[in-house]
Amino acid sequence: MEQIDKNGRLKHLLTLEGLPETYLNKLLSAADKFIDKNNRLCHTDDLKGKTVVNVFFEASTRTRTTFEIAAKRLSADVISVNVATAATAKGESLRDTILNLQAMQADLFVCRHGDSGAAHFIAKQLKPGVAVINAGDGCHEHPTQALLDLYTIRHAKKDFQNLTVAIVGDILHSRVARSEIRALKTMGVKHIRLVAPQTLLPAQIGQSGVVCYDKMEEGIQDADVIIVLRLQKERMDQGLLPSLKEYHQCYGLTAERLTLAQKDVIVMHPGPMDRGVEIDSEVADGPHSMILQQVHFGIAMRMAVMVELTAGK
Amino acid sequence: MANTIVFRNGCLCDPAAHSEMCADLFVVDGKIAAIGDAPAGFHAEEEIECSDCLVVPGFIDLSTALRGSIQAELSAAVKGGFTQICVPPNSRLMLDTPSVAEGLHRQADRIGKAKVLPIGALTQGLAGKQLSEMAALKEAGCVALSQAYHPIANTKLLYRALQYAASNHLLVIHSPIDSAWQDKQYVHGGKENLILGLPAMPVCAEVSEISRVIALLPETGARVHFSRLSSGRAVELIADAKAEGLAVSADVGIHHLWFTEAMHRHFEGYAMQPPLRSETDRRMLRQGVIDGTIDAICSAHEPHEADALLAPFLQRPSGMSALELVWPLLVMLHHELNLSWSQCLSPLTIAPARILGLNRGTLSVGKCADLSILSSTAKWDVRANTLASHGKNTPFLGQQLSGQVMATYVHGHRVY
Repeated sequence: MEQIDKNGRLKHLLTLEGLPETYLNKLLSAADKFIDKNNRLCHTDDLKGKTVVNVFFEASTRTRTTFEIAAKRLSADVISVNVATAATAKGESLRDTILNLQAMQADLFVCRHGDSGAAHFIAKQLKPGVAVINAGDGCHEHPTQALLDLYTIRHAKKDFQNLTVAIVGDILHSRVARSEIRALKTMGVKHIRLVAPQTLLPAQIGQSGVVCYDKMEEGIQDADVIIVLRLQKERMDQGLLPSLKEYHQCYGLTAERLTLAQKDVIVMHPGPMDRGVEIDSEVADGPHSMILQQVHFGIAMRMAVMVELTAGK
Repeated sequence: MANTIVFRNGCLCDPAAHSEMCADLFVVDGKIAAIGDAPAGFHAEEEIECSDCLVVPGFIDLSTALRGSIQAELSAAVKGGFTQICVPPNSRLMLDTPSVAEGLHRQADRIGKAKVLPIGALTQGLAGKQLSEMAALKEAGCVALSQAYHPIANTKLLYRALQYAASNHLLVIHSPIDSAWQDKQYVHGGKENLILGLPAMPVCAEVSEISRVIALLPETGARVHFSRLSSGRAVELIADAKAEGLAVSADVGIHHLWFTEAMHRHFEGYAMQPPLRSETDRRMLRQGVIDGTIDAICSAHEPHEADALLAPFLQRPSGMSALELVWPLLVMLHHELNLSWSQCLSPLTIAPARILGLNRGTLSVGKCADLSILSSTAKWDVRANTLASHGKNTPFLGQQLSGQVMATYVHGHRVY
């Protein structure tokens, strides 16, 4: 499934793979327009008369809400379908669910699904002109999260190339990490570090231009940006980790560990956070934290993506 | 139907004798009566012109899944040049009692296309708890036993199953995947999957299972055939076991010789059991076929309904429709690897015949006339309506391929 048309424009946003630096910069700059000089989100008519359908096959509060707000700020008609409790629970196939929603005149789908590749599949079923934003598919990608993280980094650091970015936690199951690594590489970040035990790293990741660390202290040493990932509790039952306590001891971002990073380090987290496991409250609520800004910027970033996908259609 | 047939001017390729020669082949009453000159008093009731074609022993497949219409799949088999197909047990075709095996035989005989060779379940219901009635299964025509993709975690039980199979002089066909990885669909944990983020099955899931079974062989006396290898390390293990003189053999699915994990880019293609692996693995699998470490090539035919494929990658059933694509793929391998026809065809004819102990797979005088007439240059379009199999799940759909089966004969009767 190709997400770029023959004129080089996005038809869907399924992955950040293959999107060049100029395109990412264009999207980041587009998001600027939706934040005014008082750091408030704007209200525009860009999507007036368009229907945006949020289809979440997996539970989500933050992502779904920010997409909803983004669409409303653009004057779109927004419907959110919680499919986990709707048609598919009655046995309807994913394809039929999507085709039915399309028949209700949707212009843009925002989809989250537990299977890697689901967004590609959904995009394939739709008629031309109807767009899909991948709001997270399995362990594959969550492109708007990575874009808003780029936006946040750019806001705080201005320049990407000379940064050292450490991503800490469950990389293996993280769609955020996959999108993030891709985006950071595209932006020319030279030092991308992954910090996790081997059980939480994908096979052969070391061959992809990143450096892996199994010791937290070494991994965040002199880092400019630390992105902390959520640790899901079910990982303990899969033999990937012995306990939350040991995880916190080895990989929890504490105030003490944070002193190893650069003085002006920023700390990010895609949420939802598990305080006391992957991150301590002192850090999450501390002066280096950009976690709530990420949410705020996320709305502007999603507005920019929605406009990009619907403009001229 | 004619009792005497002459196949004129074909290139007779008999991998068992490493021979390729242009000659006439004479069939009388379902048996090869002579090659070259007609037998005394021979009068051809039927003459088949085979110039520009290969005349080869009918292909024997070590792994064909029958799903949906058996008629369609047996038609696909002969359309692909196969005269005998082994059908492993699965949850829908539970070959763990003599009646199921006999029923399958009867059904295939009635259809009268390719001959079906049932593979019995090694344990009852493939549950890995109680041995199947192996003597009865053998009596009912099962040519081997297998757990297919239902690995036995309990090594003591596996040890006993191998012992008991050996006592019944039955081959065990083993699909090597560690039991912990049988729960869902997996892909190779390689560089492609760094992008896709699909659940990954490491190579060690295969090699640890092969090692475990090899460790059991000296004390059980079992003869084991490892089916559908996917990795280079598996090939090395088989080579070592053969060097030690253990009674092992191995095959590889045809698609594993052609595709790699790169097939899944953008979530395209089909998940495979076992997964399609790296470029290095493919190279070692190919080398294994060339040097004989891998004895046979199987189709690993897995036909699926079109509806089942209308789902995201992980929810689609695994495997590809393959019976009708084996010959064109072999033609491509013949060109790409610079192999002789004998080298290409041995893994589909004499090698599986020897593994199964069948008196087939060769063109010598006196043998059963199971034959395929193949063109390596004729082109055909792979389309839903040109595939006889009801499984249209192939990445070649819409492509034009070289290599067509012109006719197939079972016991001297034309079945395609």
